[in-house]
Amino acid sequence: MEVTLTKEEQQAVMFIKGRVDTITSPQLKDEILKAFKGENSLVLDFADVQYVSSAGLRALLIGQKTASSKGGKMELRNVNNTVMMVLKSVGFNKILTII
Amino acid sequence: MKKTSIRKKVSSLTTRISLASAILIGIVTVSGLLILRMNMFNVSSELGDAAAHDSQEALEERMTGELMTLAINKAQISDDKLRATQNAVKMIAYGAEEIAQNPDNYLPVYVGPPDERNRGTMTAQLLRADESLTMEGAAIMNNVHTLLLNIALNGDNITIDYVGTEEGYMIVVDADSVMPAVGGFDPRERGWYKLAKENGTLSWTDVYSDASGRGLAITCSMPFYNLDGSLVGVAGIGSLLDNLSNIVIESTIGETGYAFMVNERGQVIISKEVEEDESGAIIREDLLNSSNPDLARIAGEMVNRQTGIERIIIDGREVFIAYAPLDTLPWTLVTVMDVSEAIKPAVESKERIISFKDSALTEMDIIIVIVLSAFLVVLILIVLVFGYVSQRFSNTLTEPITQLETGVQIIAAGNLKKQLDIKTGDEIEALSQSVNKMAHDLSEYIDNLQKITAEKERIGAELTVATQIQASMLPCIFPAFPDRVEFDIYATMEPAKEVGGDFYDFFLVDENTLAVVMADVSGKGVPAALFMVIAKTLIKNTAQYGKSPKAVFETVNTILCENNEENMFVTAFMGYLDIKSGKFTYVNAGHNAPVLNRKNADCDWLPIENDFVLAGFDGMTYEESEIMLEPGDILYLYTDGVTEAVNPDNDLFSDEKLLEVCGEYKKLLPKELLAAVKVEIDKFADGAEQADDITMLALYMREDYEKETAPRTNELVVEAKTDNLYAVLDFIKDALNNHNENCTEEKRNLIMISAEEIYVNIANYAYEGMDGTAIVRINPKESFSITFEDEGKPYNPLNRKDPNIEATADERGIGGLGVFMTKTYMDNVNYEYKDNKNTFTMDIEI
Repeated sequence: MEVTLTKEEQQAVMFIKGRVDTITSPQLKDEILKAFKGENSLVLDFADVQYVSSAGLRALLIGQKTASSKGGKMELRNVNNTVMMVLKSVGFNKILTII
Repeated sequence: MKKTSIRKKVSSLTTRISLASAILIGIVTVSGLLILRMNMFNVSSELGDAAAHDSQEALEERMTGELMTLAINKAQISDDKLRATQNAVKMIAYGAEEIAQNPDNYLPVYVGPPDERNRGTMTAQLLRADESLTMEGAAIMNNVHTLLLNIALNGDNITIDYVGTEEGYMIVVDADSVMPAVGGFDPRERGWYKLAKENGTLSWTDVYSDASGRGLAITCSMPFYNLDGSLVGVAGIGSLLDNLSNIVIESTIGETGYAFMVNERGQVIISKEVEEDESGAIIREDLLNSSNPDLARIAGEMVNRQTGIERIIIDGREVFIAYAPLDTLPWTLVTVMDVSEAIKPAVESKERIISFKDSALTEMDIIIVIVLSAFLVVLILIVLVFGYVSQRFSNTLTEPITQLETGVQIIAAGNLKKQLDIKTGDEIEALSQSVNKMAHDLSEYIDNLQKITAEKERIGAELTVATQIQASMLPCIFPAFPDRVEFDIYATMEPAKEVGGDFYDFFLVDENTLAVVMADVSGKGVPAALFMVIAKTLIKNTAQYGKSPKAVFETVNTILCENNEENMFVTAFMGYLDIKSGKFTYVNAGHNAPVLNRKNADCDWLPIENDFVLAGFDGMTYEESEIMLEPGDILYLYTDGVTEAVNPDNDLFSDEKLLEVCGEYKKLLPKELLAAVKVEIDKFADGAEQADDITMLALYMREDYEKETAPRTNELVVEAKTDNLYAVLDFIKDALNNHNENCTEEKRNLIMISAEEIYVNIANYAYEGMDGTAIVRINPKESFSITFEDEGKPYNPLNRKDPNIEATADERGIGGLGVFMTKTYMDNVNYEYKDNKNTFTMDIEI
């Protein structure tokens, strides 16, 4: 999994590439927490993510909680079908902002 | 326990030695003194006896001489006296004869009869034998009275002198005037008259009693004649023997000595012993008839008028007796003296010497006693002084020992910093220095030991880590190439107690080339492990550049030779399998020859070039060999941990045994073959500790791909760790690819996610942090089924409460989704706990 943080017109965007699973999700969680230290708003670009396991979902949940506690927001974009199916299966489509 | 201290021993020993020496000296000295005393006693006794004997002899000689001389002298003196009397008698006889022959020349002279008034005065008196004789008849002869008076008055020792005539007249001069004047005294009848008349010459009478009672007397008489030769008368002088005795005999000789006169008949006539009997007769001892034979014999000598001296016993007393004859008379003068008196000075001298000896001995005894006493005092002093000195000495001697003992006890009690300070300059000091050094060394040693122990614990911990790292570096997931059906490979490494340097490796150099490596780094421990990591990485990296085995080894050798200061080396075997053709190209750097177990031939060694080890020498070249591996062939690689495994008797497992075992298990596939060999090794070792890593690798050329793959790729055994997650997922993905080609991407991901959730659960919780295995089985028939099996604690994930998926983010917990997701995605899920195993099965229709 590769994580790249960039800015698109003041909006912080994190590009994620690869699997988000038990092995890689701690890294994603750390990156998200790090990003929220300087930002109130973060967009996660899931275009190159085909695989998210429960560990990955945990990282996303922690990110969402962090955003809420800061009064900020975390958004997911370009989520593919498989990942969307996973998110829906556990009701994450309701607690995450997916654009 | 301390029985007797050295101090006491030394003290007692020196005291005993000194005491013994003192006693010995004492014994020698005293015995010397006693011997001296004994010698002195003997010598002085002999000396005294000899001196006494010598002086006795000298004295005896002198005394006998003196006694003899005395006898002779006394005889002469007696002769002189008697001769004077004889001369006086001769003068009277000659005077009377002159008158008788020449009457005419003389005038008549009147001499009166004895008159009592004249008593007391020498007076001439005329005695007449009878009345017939007239006074006038003797008038002429009376002229002789003046001669008589003169001789009587002037003569020595004369008591009376007289002239008797044949006519019967007697003219006598004496001081008594008591004889009868007429008729009472006839001279012609007297013994002296008859003796002289008969002898016709001067004669001596025997000793007789004086008529006047004045004692013993003796008379000397001499006849005188007329011219015609007829006898006129006899002149005579009477001497008292007392006078003679006084002069001659009664002079004393010493204290016991005496003298006496013996007559011609051997009778003692003049002696102090001469006594009269009751009738007045003289008792004369007759020596000739003496009962003493010596005396009788000597009396005989005397009668024979001999001179001599002898030593005889008289009346029980030892005496010297000397005898000498007189000239005037046939008498012998005898002197007698006790021998004891004669030798008295000698005896006294002897006694003095003996008494001197005794006193000397007494003094000697006193000296001995003094010496003994002094010795006793000295002995006591020696004992006291030596006792004190030896006490001091042993103190001096033992004080350092005591110090040493105390010090050593302190050190032994654990104070290793204690340093002894003993300066005796002898062995004790050397010993104390040794103890100091020992304590110091011990202290250092303990410090070092503590450091080393800490270090060892650290290293031990590191070694464990090293072992784990080493093990984890080796490919351990089997089947290693589940999608490769042409071959099967299996490898194991049983590390020894201490981490070693064995390693194996296999990897695909490219799609068609499999590389296998078997190597053994020299030595053990962390250095070997590190070197192994380097060697393994280098080989694999170099091989990835597409180089041939020969080039790989040459390159790796060069790199390893750089900075190889530890002089470590690696024996290594490496081969490339051309998977399609079965061509096997290999190099060997000093490693054991692999076993080639061909399907249609006997088990045998793979022919190898014995090239030099890696890291041994820079610039080495390695020769490649080639063979063709046929389906059914097995190549078996190993390290010397196999062939050099030992049993309790230190016998080696050996190459031959390995070949034999490999041949025996010809039919087995790699995994089973390695297990079987290991069983044989364990059987052989019989409990002996494994000394070296046992590393094996088997490469099998499959015969029938289809038959073999199905059963062999449906199971994966891994250590239950999240690190192995991808291995599990890859295994499942491969299975899906191989058998369920129609599976959609989405379904495949859901299956994978489900598998991840179950596996991660096992990896994280089943063994509670301990090691354990997880087995994943896939059954691709009909519906796709996956089974997870672990031997951890019983846990049914299906009992977990489903999360509320309607809850808001804030309401959500961060876990608990995984099992729910699995249940959601899979068609069926099932949990079972059986035979101590958790078995979770899930399946899905594809």
